[in-house]
Amino acid sequence: MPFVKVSQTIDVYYDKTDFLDPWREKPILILQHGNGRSGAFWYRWLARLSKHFVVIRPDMRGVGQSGKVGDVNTDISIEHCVSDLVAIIKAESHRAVFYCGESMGGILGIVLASKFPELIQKLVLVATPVFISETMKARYAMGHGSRLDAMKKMGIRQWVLETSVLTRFPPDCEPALLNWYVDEFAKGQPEVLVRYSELVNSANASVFLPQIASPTLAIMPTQGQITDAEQEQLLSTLVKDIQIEHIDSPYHMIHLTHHDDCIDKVLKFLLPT
Amino acid sequence: MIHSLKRPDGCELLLEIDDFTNPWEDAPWLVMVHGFAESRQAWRAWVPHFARDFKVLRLDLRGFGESTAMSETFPWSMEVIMDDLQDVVTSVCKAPVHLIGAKSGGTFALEFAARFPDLVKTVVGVTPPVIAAQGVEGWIRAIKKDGVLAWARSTMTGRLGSQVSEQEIDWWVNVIQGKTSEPSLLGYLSWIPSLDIRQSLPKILSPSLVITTTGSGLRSVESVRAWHATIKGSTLHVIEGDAWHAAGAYPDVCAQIVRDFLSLNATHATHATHATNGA
Repeated sequence: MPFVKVSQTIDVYYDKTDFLDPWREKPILILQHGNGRSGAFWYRWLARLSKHFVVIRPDMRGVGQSGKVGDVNTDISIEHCVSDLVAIIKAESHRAVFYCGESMGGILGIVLASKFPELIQKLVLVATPVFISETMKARYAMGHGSRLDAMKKMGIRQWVLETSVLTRFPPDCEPALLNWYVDEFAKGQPEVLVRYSELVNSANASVFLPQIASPTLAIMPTQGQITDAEQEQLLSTLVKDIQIEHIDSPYHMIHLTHHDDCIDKVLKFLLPT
Repeated sequence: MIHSLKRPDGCELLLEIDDFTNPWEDAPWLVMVHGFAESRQAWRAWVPHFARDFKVLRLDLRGFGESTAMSETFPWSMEVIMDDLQDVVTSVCKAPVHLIGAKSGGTFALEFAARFPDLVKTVVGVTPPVIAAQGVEGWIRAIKKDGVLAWARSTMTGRLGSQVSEQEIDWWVNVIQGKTSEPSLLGYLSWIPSLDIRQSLPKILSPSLVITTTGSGLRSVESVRAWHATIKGSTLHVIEGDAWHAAGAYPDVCAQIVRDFLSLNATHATHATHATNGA
């Protein structure tokens, strides 16, 4: 499986799923995970999407199967993550690709589509906040001084378990899915996970929204705790060509809990009619 | 994920596993066996249909694809292939499997189900030559005279049917069949005329499905019905089409038929709308 060398010391991994007929044109779809996750979290999407696209799932630098980084504060930034995506797209395609990002993966998509319009044919944002609200920052602090304090003091596993029950997965979710999510998330290096949380906490993609030229679909949970109505209003006001669809859930991980509904909407948006 | 399985004679079998099932579940295995002069690549369009529900294992048979090539004098036999498949199922899957084969891979799948009922949950043969096709001697002469590529191209329209595009023919010729090791291919072809598994068919106990086409140039539907009738409780599905390699020519149609068959056979039922032999 492929890696791209993005600096002297950092390799970024991406998984490539290709079952398409080799004698036909093969459109590429990037699936970009969000904060602290990895490409493995998209597994429920692969069977249906790989009938239509070559599916590429990058692991952000420092997580999943990507190589370790040196100093997290200098080696991990939004700009680095976007330039890693540019390197992957250029390694795999000579033309624009489809891009679908969930949560922070969508924020990267917004920046990418804004700065490199020639690379993105269509953009899909799944449960993507434009910024993290003060309410959510307080909720993710879990009674500690901040989200970062909470992650450090509670330990990654306990923090992700408690915040997942609170915001990511509904009470009737399969227990095995929640357990797997927590175990998989907690595999990451704590300092890397804290750094990504720091980035997403301080990110604000508003300034990039007017520069998005590609047709855009946003799939949002209804009553989203992280993606609230104010943020949807920003998206619909500032992105030129956007449609917003909803999944009936107040919880954030709709790409795992409502994967088939999400995929239906993605296919309808991406496939030619 | 790519694996290699080393056999006692030194042959390395190349295996590829695609698994999009829930990571915490012990999903069933689906093993796909390709036919003559092919590789696991022949199944690529099938994988998305199954990999969410099954751990899909595609192997390159010995002599083919990226598995070790065999010499022209290699003593091919059903035993050798059965031993390879048994090793794959017991060493890698470590559980009974759903088994699918296409063309002579279908013949091997049916024979394996007859020999190892405890290792096979269900079995599917897509256009399997239960009795070797006529004309193999002509193929050997053609390959020796003009090479694998020319032979592959001259036979491809029959294999994939009259609707196949030039681009598709080019891929099957240049990437699949044309890359087959010629000694492997000639050795295999010298063995294949003796193939006849009709005696094994009544021993198949697992739920089974056979898919054939209406217009195959290699065998009539009636000839398939004749041997299929000897498999207890088996389902026969006849697809409209003139390809003799239905798995390669009509992968989405075949995969949907197999999905229907597998979903019904979770309870060991057979598809009521298809021709089904009395159990």
